[in-house]
Amino acid sequence: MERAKLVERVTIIGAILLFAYIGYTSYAVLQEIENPQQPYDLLVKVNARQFAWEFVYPDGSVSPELRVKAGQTVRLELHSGDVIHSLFIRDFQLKKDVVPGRTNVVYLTPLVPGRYVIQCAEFCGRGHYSMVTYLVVE
Amino acid sequence: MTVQVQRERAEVPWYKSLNKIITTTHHTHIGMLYIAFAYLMFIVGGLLAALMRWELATPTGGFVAPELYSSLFTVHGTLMIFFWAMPVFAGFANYLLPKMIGAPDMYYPKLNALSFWLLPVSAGLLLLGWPNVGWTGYAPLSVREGGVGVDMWILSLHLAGTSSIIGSLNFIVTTWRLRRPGIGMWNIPLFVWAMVVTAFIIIFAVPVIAFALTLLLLDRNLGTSFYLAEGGGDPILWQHLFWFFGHPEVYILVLPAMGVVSEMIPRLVKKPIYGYRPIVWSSILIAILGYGVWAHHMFTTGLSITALLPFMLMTMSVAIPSGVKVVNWEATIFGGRLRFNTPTLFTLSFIATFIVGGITGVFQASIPVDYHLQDTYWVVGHMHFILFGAISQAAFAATYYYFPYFTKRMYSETLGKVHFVTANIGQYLVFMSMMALGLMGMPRRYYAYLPEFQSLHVVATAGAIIIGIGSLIFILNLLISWRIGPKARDDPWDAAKNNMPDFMGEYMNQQEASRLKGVTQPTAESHG
Repeated sequence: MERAKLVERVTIIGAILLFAYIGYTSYAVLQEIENPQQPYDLLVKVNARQFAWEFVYPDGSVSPELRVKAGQTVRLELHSGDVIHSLFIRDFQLKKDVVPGRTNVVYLTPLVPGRYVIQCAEFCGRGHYSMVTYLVVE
Repeated sequence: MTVQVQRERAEVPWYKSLNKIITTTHHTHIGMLYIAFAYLMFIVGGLLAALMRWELATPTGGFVAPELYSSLFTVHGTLMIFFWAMPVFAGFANYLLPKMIGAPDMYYPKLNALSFWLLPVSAGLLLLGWPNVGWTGYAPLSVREGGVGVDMWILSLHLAGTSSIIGSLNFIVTTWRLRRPGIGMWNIPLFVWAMVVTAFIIIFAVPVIAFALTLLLLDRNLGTSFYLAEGGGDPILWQHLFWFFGHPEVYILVLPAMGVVSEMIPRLVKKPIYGYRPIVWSSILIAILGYGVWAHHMFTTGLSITALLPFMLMTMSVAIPSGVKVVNWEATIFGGRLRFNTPTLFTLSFIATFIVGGITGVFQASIPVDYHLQDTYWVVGHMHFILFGAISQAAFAATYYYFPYFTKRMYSETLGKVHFVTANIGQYLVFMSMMALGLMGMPRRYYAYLPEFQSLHVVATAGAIIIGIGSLIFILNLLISWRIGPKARDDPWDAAKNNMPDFMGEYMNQQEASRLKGVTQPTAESHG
């Protein structure tokens, strides 16, 4: 029976150490990616609505796809006028909700040219599945 | 004359008379009604899931319309949580709890009947309302969606919540007031402990969802704007309120499952439970910590890191008491005599799947990892491992284990093993595919998807068909065995023989009664 107690204690202490390590590394990563004062090269306003994306560039031009240059750091400011959407670029493991009434910010520095899929990840109504567009890195 | 009529009626089992079914207040009858109702809802919810899986077998959809698909996953989610997983354990508790503590019935038998009969009404509201905003009903979508579907969903959850609160008060008061002498705080059966802790979670959590739903109802119908940004409200408020209920809800579902497993394991392996007190304390700790983790559903909403970090740490720490339980169950099994009958198999698969589902949950707790996993099929796979693989399989194990007490007959062991094999192969095909899809970046609640995801979706659909066939065999096994199964012994699992009677309180009552009569009675006898 003592062996079971030993296993139990080792499990608890091992789990606490492991979680402390995961917690610390997560914190370190978050400090990096969630820094609100990062320098950026391009500011793009993202307007999400049922069921389409719209990207507004600093010169006022608008496109249904997000077009950026490789190596540029892009600041995305997320706006929604109707319901909650979520900007999900799976190849960058990046997701941020687009919430009416607040402006969420995401930074992105694509390095490899290509077409990356952007999907809406928060259920936003019957056309949720069709809210798909592309990030085009040139 | 009257006496004769009564005797004739007494010979007919209670469940064969509609009048008896509607008017009964006896805890065993209410318990069986709860379980039967839950299985009915399990079948309905399973059929909805089958339709969804069939629709998802092709990337373009077309089997059902997108509107119908939204309703399918909304009703499936709400139904399985509120009308399958909750009532089935409320049913076991109604049947087992008074017997385990030696009470003649629940403390409030009529309220007990009320808490059951509210459920069919609220399930009816849900099915007739046919809402389409997801079981989480995120505002402002749930405010803006027209029609009465969402309103009926709100009222349905109000009724189901009322039913749970009444039932919980009853469990607490019954355990408090009706324990027989000799059953003290530290030898109450573990299932009773689990139910009392669950009842406290329900009493603290359900009023919060009732409040949130009432605000939603006002927003929808009276033009208030608690959840609408343009009216000065905050859409995130709904998520805080919903998940402040919603995460404890997970423990409302899993604690009774853990409790019933803690009851069955020692009797199945003929060895007393190892670590009674750690199991009790871990239940209490889970209940308390469970209130401090709600924002882990909201890591991507844009809340500040300062606000979110504590939730990451709390989420990880809630995994520790769950791990303590697993270690204690394993220590109980270790060195015991395993019998490979259906309840044992399902109990073992409960532990195995709980480990898989639990560990995959810890991944999501890390905020940067969650940025990728949030709202993808990974989450769907994870929660189904817990809800189907663990909680439902504990319910299946308990159904097989207590079937001889419910019906006085034995189920078919062969069909039970077929059910075990199909449920386990099926669940890994479905939910592992879902987790892989999530890692690949497939968002949940998509009616049509990128063609590259199709192969795994087809595997998941095949798995769902296997689960469906197994569940059909299971239900048929129960129904047929109820009619023509072999007669069960009074002590079907040799529990009393191994000095661990299934219903300790009732057993002690009988021992005392026979001592008073001066008759020795070797085995426990049960009453349906």
